[in-house]
Amino acid sequence: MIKNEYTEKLNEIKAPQSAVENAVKAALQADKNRKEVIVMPKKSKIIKFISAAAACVLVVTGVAVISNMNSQKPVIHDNSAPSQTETNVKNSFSLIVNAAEITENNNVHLSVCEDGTQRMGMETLSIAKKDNGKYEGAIYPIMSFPVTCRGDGIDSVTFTISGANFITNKNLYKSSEDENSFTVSYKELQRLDDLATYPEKSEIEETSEKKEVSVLIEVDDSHPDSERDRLVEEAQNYIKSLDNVSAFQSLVKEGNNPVAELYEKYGADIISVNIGEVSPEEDDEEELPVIGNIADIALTPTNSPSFTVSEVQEYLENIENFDDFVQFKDGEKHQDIMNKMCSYYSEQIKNISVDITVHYTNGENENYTMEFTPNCVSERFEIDVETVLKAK
Amino acid sequence: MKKLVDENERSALIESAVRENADMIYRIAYQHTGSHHDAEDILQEVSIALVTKNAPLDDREYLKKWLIRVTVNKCHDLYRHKKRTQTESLDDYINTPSQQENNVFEEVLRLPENYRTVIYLYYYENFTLQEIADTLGKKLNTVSSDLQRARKKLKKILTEEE
Repeated sequence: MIKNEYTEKLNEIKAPQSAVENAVKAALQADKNRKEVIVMPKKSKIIKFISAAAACVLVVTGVAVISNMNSQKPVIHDNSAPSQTETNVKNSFSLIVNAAEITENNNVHLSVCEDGTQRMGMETLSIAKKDNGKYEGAIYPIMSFPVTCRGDGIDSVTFTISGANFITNKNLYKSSEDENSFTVSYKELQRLDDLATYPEKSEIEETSEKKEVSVLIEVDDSHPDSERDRLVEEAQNYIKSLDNVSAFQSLVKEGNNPVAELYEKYGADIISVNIGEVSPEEDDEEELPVIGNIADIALTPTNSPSFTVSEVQEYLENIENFDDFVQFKDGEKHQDIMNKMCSYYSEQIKNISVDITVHYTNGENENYTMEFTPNCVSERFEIDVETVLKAK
Repeated sequence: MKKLVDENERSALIESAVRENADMIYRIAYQHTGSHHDAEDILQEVSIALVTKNAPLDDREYLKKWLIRVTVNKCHDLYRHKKRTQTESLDDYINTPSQQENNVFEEVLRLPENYRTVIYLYYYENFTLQEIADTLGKKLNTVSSDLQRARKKLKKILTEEE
């Protein structure tokens, strides 16, 4: 009902006829102008060069951005003030985040949420069979890396993390062997900026057939390769036979455990169950990074708290359906899970720090460090992460 | 003569692409900005980008995703522009509806911008999470958690209002 109310309201929103006519007119006019530019390639090149030069002058040297930055409270900053930025970037890298300049005595708090913090939540629930034969769930938290840097005279910036791992697009960033460090080249960033605004066809992948339940399966190494492929295929077919999320939920409600059945039947080693969505295996190489979110931080999933399969399934069951979810009242068990997760997240986050080294084209380097302080609100299962950037 | 025909065909393609997708672009823009005026501006800007940025006019399915992505980016640009130039609370940027108009749609409008996009694509366009991730150039996990958080926020808001 809630979904219907939402979509019905959207159905009522239509572009006014006059706006459509204006848009058509503007598009056709732009097409006409474009043809004229093609006839004058030199002019086009000059414009491009000037734009690039202007972009270099308008130096924005470090902006806290992640995907949900739009929810942040307004912070009036003067990144656009040319005199200040020019002074700041000349022969020294100054991160300007939310109008504050980072110096040795002035640390900067990065704010990406409305209350001035970064917020993270559960990303992946996985159920694994333990040595004792019991099935247990684990969580794999991920949070967005809240800073990117742009500046003048910069060749590249190296980010090195401890206490967690970076998830980056390896095609674009040079990762060190330990995968805890990556380097962003500024030439590459410029190119990516264009891509982020205007995607090329190759960047939008053809999507797979829609399924309501999807399962990522990895089979134990003890099976020979050919056998593993067969088992995975068979297990996937089994999941497909569940038809849709309702069938999956019915099995759970009837006291069956489809996940456990998969273990028993196919000897699967790791199973991630995603309900209500398609989740084919991710291919990092095909991902398009968005500027401002140059990496995610994956907390190392060691010492993750364990949950019983029924606890995890109960959680999943309650978030599956949009209508049900918004009506869902927190139960005692649900709260237990939240408390466990909050406690785990907080411990993990405390141990994370990121070192940032800015490499200048003149061979000089500057160093910064980023620290995270968690504040867990377990009743809502929200972790507010205070992020501070310091000059070293 | 051939060239003229091609140009006419291209103009027809452009016109049809704008007309066919105008409502979608407008809806996304309105849902981001909460302003009909801004939505109209964005519709026009996206229509221009359609020709200046070599949109795939001959592939309707891909064109739709391309337009969604560009529309969302234009909304972000507008937000950033307003953030830079305004000295007042950015809450004013989102023309949030009055309390009397409270319903699910209005509550969606109150969500953070990226949540609104995911909710729209998932529930209105019936995109899968993978399709949303591909269209927006985001990781599947990010989209998944955005959706979860959006639902959670909605749940909280709606429960509080009961």
